Amino acid sequence: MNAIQKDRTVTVALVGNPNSGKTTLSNQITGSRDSVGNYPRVTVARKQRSLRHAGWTITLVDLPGAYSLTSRTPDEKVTRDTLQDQRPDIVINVIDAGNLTRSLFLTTQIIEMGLPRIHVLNMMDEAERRGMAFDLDVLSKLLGGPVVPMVARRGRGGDALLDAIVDVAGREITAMPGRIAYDSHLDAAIGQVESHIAELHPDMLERTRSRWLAIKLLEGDDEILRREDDHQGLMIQVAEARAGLERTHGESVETMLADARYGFAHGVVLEATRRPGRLDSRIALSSRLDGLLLNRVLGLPLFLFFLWLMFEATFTLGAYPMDWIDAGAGWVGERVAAAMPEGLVRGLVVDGVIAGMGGTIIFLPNIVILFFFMAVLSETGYLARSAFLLDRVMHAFGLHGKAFIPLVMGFGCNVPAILATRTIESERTRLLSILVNPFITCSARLPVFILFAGAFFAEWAGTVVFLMYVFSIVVAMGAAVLLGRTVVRGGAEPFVMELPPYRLPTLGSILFHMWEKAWGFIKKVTGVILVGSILIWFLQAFPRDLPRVDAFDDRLAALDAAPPGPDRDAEMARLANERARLRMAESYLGRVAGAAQPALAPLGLGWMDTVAILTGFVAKEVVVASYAVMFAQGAETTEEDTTLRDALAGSMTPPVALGFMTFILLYTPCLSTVAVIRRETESWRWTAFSVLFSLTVAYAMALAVVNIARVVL
Amino acid sequence: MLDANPKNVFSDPPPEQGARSRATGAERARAQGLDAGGRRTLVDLRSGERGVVAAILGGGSLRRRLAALGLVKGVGVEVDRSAPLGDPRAYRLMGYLLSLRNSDAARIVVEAAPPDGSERHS
Ligand SMILES: Nc1nc2c(ncn2[C@@H]2O[C@H](COP(=O)(O)OP(=O)(O)O)[C@@H](O)[C@H]2O)c(=O)[nH]1
Repeated sequence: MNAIQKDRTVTVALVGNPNSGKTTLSNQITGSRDSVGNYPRVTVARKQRSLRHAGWTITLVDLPGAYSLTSRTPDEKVTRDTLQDQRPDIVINVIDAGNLTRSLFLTTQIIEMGLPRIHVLNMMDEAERRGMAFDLDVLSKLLGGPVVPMVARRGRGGDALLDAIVDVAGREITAMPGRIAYDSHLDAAIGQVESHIAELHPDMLERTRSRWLAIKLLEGDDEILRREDDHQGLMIQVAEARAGLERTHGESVETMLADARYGFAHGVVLEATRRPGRLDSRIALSSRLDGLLLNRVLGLPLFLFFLWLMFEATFTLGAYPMDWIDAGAGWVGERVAAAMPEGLVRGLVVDGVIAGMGGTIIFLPNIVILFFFMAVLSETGYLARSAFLLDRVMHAFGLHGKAFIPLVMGFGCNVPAILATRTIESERTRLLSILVNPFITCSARLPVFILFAGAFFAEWAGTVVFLMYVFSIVVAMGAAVLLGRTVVRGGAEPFVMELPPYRLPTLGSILFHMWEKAWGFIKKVTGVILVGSILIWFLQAFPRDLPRVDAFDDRLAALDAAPPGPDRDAEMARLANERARLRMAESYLGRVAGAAQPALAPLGLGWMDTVAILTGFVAKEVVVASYAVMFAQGAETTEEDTTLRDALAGSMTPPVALGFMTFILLYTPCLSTVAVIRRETESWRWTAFSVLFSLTVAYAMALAVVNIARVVL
Repeated sequence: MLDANPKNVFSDPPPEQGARSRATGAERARAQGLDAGGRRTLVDLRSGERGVVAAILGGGSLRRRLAALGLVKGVGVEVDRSAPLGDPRAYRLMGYLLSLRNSDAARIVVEAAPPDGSERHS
């Protein structure tokens, strides 16, 4: 991959502890921004962006945060494997200057990997405020590679970093070997394993790589051990060396390595610190805030209050712009309808595209407000606290405090939520969190609840929607317990998590976070939803040639010719209604739904609801769009001025509506979620299981809800 | 990748089964044969109390994880606070906050901190 000089391109990888400011830094220097979080390890997937500087094309690879390069968490695995196997040209090691000793633990491993490196001393503003000062030359000498002080949040030092990248790249360095001093016995063992590896892998030209591998093997890194599994001799040598060292030193190799690494880190800190920090006022303030927010008595109520506030604001504040969008979409629909000749194309544009998209885009305000709160929570550092507050509760359900954040994110969208489970170390807990996440009601399901709650439980709409949220949590937790005891067995995992200091969020990153989500939603609307709306419209507008429907036209024409009067008008309206219904029932969509409907009949659902559910497989937003399209046609022919809500209210009873909402809440998530489950579990089996499981749960719960509601309501 | 049990000679002893048990972290750790042998562990420290890590009992992978976060022999640790439900607790070490479940904290043996706070890596 070292094509450096020829075409003047260079690949650099950003590595650092979670929360050291990698995302902020990368956004600063590439000029774009996406989610920055004060919650450890929010950058999940690997992202690549390119920029140009001083005639070079620099490709920046964002790697997930890591405390170490031992394959302990999926995140750390991604980081380690990328560095080890793809060998970026330069590693940028992002260090929180206020947390130097701990950050250097990771640094020691980057040094041992021997890649060309640049160290960024980030958060210098905080360090300076504490009165800290470092000798950068000494630091650079001890760590190998230039050291660039930065304040990523304000963009300070960005150019210096780019210059340093170009400088290192220009020098065509392909390796920067470095050593950490170990105990002499340990060092000897490393040497022996190293030569054994060099024999087994003669292709591995650089000595640093075999030394690195030797250290990882002796450290007992499961992944690396598995990779070398077929070299029996090597495995035996490693196991014997480990046992021998443990016998003679009375300590495990891990401990010896860790001690040496911290010894190195400690030495570096001693030598390179010109002025140590005063007692940190930031920590003192953070601690006082924790005194309130993590208070024994007030902590949980405050958390619930914030959660409540978040939802209140999302829905009450969101109602105003929703009205405007509603009115706007209606106005556009009318204008377009007036401007176009009647016919198929007008039907497609007005009833398909405008009705479908308008009915979905209306929820944009909710989503923007929700993500505003999510961004504030994660930027301030409170999101990590919530995992701390709730671990005990989550643990009771066989989950982990860290599973709470993905669950909460699921209220926004299940796709990033499932990606966020990567922060969970144990594969079992992670799998559980992935499988229960679809039960968490994402913002795409909210439109359905708002519509149905408004139509059937006008005064209680807010409460009903809230209950759906509560129910969503109950089912998710119940499913976690059930699955944890049946299909996903295994042990619990340690809860080891950093609580980052509270930080004031920057307005810029919050706005960009919101903008990104809003944009994502709009893209989804214009992509999936547009296609969905057109498809549904097509399926219900065709076939055109339906003799039974046409028969109505003759009768209507005959009535039209008759003398006007209230009786005639009523009869005409009745006929038109009947015609519309027949038209829909005989369309392709009606036929498919008709075939599937008997399965849903026990829930009291008709073919129209079946249509909505079928289309909801694509994306839950489409459910409302489907109703909008289906009723738009009905409304047109009955010449009644009905809004979607009123039209719905006449189509089913409140208990059935509750059952329908329950089904929508719980059944198979959208296609994107299925795709991401497949990607994250790397298993079709678990993906199929997830789909079938949620369908089963949805059906059973909806059936229960309908029958209970029929008795109670 | 998400297969339940990677077979590996070096993997840890199976972690605790039955997280539902009511046993306290210390009891659970003891049940796993990770008895601190009467020595004090992190869970025994009261809020605000300080100790120095003397040993970490149990599996290599937990040990590696803790080491990556700064929990190694000789490090001074102070109990910052407990979560409202008593578990997990937050500890301050190396100038930052780390949260640990009591069952894991019970594997970390501590000694009394020297009164002048002169321990390593504080
Ligand atoms: N004071 C200060 N805060 C920073 C700096 N760089 C990043 N931050 C903040 O640190 C937090 C974590 O940053 P983030 O980029 O999400 O870290 P990551 O987890 O490494 O990607 C955010 O709240 C940032 O606003 C800096 O140089 N100074």
